[in-house]
Amino acid sequence: MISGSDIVIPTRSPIEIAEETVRLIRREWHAMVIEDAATGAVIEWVVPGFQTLPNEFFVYKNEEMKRLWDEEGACESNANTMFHIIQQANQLTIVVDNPTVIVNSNVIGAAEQLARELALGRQEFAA
Amino acid sequence: MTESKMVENLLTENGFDWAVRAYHPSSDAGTYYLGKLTSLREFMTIRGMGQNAPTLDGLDRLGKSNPYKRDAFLEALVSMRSSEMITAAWRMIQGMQLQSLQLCFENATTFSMEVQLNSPYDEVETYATTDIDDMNFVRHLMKSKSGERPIINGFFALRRPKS
Repeated sequence: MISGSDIVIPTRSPIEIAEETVRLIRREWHAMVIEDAATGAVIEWVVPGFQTLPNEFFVYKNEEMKRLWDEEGACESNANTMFHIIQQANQLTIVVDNPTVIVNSNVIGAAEQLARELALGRQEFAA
Repeated sequence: MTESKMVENLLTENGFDWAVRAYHPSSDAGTYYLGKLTSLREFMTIRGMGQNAPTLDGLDRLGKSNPYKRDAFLEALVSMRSSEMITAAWRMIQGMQLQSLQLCFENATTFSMEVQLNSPYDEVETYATTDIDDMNFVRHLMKSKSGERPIINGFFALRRPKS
């Protein structure tokens, strides 16, 4: 994304935090649409089941918002309707328009907390 | 190679050799854990979800795509007692959401735990136990808050990831 706020979550398991972030988003947006950032392919969210999310992907509020993002890019009418998620070594980055908007702060706050809980539960702080 | 040996290899090759050594005699550990897998499959079949039961091939594939989930299941397999609660753990690892958890304990008298899992499509599954050895289930649950709403995110492996 050219604009937006980057929230970097340190974690030794970005793949798990990325997947849980998608679940957190789904709690807010039942009609969410996931798109592979590299290929543009829409990813079907399969539950129950196993799937591997791409290293970089977008999650739109719904099909209408995806269409708006595709046609208009970032604009006022689609503000805060998309999460941009990037998995990297030892961190997960979540990019949103305004991190203080409730849906964004709910998802980001929960993802940050989960990353800390996992680190604590796995004693990653231990020597 | 026998299935018992394959189960033993699955454990020892993924850092669970302690679970093999902990079983006495350790030469029978593969057979024991294979028995748990078989009982698990039978339980899930009775519940009408036998097609979702873990298989050795499936666990091998899962280990390649998401080793954390494979480890979470193996931790459940070696540390929990009942097929019912190991199934609950497996279903959460597959993505079912923990909707409710009821736990009741009275010292040296009673223990009971019941969990309800939901899918995004409103399918509901309930699992219960009165065996306190299944309480290891709770150790693997991780929590967060969405706003002020309490969430239990899922069933996770506890082993520290490799550096």
